[in-house]
Amino acid sequence: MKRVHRDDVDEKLKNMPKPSVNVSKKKKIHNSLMNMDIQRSVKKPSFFRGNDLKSLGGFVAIGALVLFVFVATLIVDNYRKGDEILGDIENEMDNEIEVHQEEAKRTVYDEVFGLYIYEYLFKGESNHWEGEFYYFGEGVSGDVSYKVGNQTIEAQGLHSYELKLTYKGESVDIQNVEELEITTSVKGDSKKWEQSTNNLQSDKEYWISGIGFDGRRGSIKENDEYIEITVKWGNQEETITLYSSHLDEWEDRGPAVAHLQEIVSMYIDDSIDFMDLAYRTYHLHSENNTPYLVIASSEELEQSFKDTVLKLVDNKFDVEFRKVEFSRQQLFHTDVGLNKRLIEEKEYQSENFEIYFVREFTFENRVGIGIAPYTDQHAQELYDYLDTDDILVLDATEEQYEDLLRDYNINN
Amino acid sequence: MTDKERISEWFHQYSDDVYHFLIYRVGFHEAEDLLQEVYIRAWKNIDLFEWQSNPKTWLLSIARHLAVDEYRIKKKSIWKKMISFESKHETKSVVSPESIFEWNEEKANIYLGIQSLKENYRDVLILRGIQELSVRDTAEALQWSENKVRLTYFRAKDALRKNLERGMYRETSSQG
Repeated sequence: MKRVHRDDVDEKLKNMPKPSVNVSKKKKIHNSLMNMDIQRSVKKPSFFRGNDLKSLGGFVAIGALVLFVFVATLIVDNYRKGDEILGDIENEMDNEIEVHQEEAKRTVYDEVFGLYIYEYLFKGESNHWEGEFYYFGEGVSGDVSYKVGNQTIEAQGLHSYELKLTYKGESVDIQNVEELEITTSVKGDSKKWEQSTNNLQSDKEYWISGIGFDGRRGSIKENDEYIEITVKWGNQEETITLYSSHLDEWEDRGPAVAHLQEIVSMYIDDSIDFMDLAYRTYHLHSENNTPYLVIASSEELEQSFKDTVLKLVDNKFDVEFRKVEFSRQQLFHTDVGLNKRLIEEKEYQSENFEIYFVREFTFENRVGIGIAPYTDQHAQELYDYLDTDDILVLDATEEQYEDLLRDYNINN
Repeated sequence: MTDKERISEWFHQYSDDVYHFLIYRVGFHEAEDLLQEVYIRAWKNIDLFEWQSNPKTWLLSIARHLAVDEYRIKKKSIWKKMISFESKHETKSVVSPESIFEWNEEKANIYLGIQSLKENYRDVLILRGIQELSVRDTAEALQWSENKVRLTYFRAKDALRKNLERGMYRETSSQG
């Protein structure tokens, strides 16, 4: 039998801590995953419903929701270095489409930042509709790919898109329609989306924005000449063909909104330690479903930071800088401390109620403590005992705390 | 079994392994975010999963590539281009002292020592050394040959040992 020699480093490595995800966080991630309507990339993706975005903040949530909507975002392809891509695009282009394509797409390489930028714009109209599809991709030079089995998955950069559909008729005609069914077809590869009219941006305009991985290719291939969009509304159906549009109409348009959100988030995360921030999140304005960003902090944020955020956002969505009482750092320590005292050590035993969970409620900027049965007097009893301002005593039996109660039951 | 059920099962079975790998690979702060991302990618690309191979090593290979991807995107983010100047705020380390403060000095040094090594070394030390995957499973997760795993692991341990002997992390640790 082969003997394996183990040395001191082997032993040290073997004994390194193996932290696991805490139970409630694990539950949260699992629930979040199970609530996503993810389809295999080869199947038709589901449609992005803007309202769902309300309850989710942060990159993963936004990415996950919109990521799988419009296209297969991870393209299985041969891995090629960034500088080879441009040459290949030129070589592969069909002569007939070449002129068209040069107008239709723009590829820029920035040597300083090592980034490729890919842009595409398609426009068209039918009897009742005008449509526009804009694609913006950022690729990192020296793209990343990985092999799974014998296939290579390319996972470079990000892309984003915006689809705008404007009804040309009277707004009253379209406002009575509850749902639109939109099918896009790129080279015969069709995707169907159902769009609630709740997502109307204005009287007559539908606006959809999404983000995905793979900056270069996302949804659009280099040789795509047109996109067909079929709209069904009420009993009617129309097909709009969107053709590649001229460069000067879309130059400097920049990332689509979903993408811009991600870029701004990256800037925030690179600039401020998340422990120093209370939270950052995107909400949707209830009246028109446009996103706005909330950056909350217990300390006054530096003006240069605010200026940069506003410069990046470029008026494409609203930003609110919110002052809150407690930092993430403080809530984190309160959360850990109270979990130990109240849940693990059961330091406080009341005759009137039981304590079921202690958890940081980021957006409330408090550490929530769930008790049952809940009354104002019971809550006051706990407030008096703990004598700290950064907590919120809650009714643990409320529906939204179901998971936390389940965790409690599992652990006890 | 539906895709959703399969992903759920894999989550229950392997999320700790994936999370744990990510902690050593990208730090505590990023690990939770990336954990979810690993499962999203797995779900989306479940067609590519070869059933004869091990879901754990497949998930770890996705985690590893996400970690690389995350690093490169962060390094060369387009926001830098958009604002045309480097941030006035210094980017803070992904290593949070709160996260390893409970570890003893030696373990904290090893953690920091691993983080200072090159990517290949980090990968193989985490998978083979800390997670104690077999050579074969490590090779599968990293998509290397088994010989490359053995050789790289040997070199990585050597590099780590030299770092630790030099005591280059002692000062950092005692300050924290």
